[in-house]
Amino acid sequence: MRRALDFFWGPADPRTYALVRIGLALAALANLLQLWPVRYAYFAASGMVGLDATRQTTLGHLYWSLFYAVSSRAGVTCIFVVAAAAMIGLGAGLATRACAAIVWAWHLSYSDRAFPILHSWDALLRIYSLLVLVSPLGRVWSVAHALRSRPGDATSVPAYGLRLMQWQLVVVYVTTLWLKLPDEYWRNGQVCAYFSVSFYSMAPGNTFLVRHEWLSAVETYLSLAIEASVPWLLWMKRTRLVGLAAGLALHVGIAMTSILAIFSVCLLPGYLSFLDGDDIDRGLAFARSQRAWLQRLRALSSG
Amino acid sequence: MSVRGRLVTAGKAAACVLFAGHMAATCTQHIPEQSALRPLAAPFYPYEELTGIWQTWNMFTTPPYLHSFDADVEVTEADGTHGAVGPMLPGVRPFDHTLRAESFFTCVVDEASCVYYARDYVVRMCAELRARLGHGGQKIVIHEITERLHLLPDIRANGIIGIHEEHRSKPFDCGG
Repeated sequence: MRRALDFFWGPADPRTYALVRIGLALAALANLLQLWPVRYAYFAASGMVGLDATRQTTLGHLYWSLFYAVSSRAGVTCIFVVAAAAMIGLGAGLATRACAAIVWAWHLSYSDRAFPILHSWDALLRIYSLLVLVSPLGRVWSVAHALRSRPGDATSVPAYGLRLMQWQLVVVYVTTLWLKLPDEYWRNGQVCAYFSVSFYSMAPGNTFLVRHEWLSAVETYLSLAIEASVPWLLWMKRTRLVGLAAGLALHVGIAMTSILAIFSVCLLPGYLSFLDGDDIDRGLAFARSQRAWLQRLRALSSG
Repeated sequence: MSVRGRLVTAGKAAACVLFAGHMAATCTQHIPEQSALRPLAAPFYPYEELTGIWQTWNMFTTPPYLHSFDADVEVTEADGTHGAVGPMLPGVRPFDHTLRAESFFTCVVDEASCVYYARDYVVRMCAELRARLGHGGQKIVIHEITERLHLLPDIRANGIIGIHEEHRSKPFDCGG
């Protein structure tokens, strides 16, 4: 029992929660901006996704959505604007808990209203917004702290929220690997070649990977290896940087070659939840050294 | 330990049980439907639905099948004249080539579980056509135009990436 208590209630750096909060706010805002032009199509009564159909689908379940009650164009726009404001508030750390509650309600509301248009990143946003809502949010790196700092703002907080976020990322990778491994195209290394000429690709007319299938095989096996190892590499302090680099390589690669950049952005909170105080200190020191280097470079170039 | 300290520890221990339950909920929903252990997932459904932690991570568990995807709605008037309009509502706009729109039309055309969504979509499309044309009575068909990927050796051999295919929903009557 003591070990369980330490695991969930042991101390964590509040800056990690702040990073996750900011990462989630950015990802949520990016997703909302993508949905903005099609808000009437999927959430208004005049759109494509019928509320009656949603009600039939959810009959006997406990799904809920603000869009069940609001389906006018003005009402839908209003929900979008309030959600966007809450995301900005969450990222800035202003009325943080209230903003986190609104952001969670937003993700549930649009998900439970329009099931046929959902993708994996919607689930990531729903889940991480719940976990941020129930986590100790702290006041570090927030407007609230900048306006009126308190002595306890930087003291450690319980780790349970981060543990649940870390667990979720492990589940994502383990599950997807479990499902991919039996597929013959993943096993023979052809998936990346097919992906490169599919409509998910940024350049579906480019047959480079089809013509150089060995490269597709290397990419396919490498992505499987990364998905298999990232959760464990991130978990262990000694290998965390390798895990971050591997995950970054995989997801920046996906973002740059496909129309799925939003998925990579939505994984950000999960990755950030693995960082501890030392990692953040090292990251800040690196950023400072880069800034100093850039300033020297600018001074040299200006004369 | 003081009484307050014991109460705090008991509270934390109770929270640990909830955390463990949450972790179990995230796992059990991935047990395959056919598995003998699938009943373990059932007690967590209400929690998953209320909190929004329902999830599947089956993205790209098979390679993509399509090189391109497009959709429109074929409209046949009562006098037999016919044409095609954009499928996006409101506004009868052209297909917007987003993943969400592709998912929606795949759902309403190809998946039996989306029968209610197809029905509601047709009702709205018919209402839009009636408002624009000033009359009803059309028959409409949701039309998918795709290019299905050839096998890699075939693409290398002839340079053609996809084979043209068309899928149509059953015809729907807009009524007078």
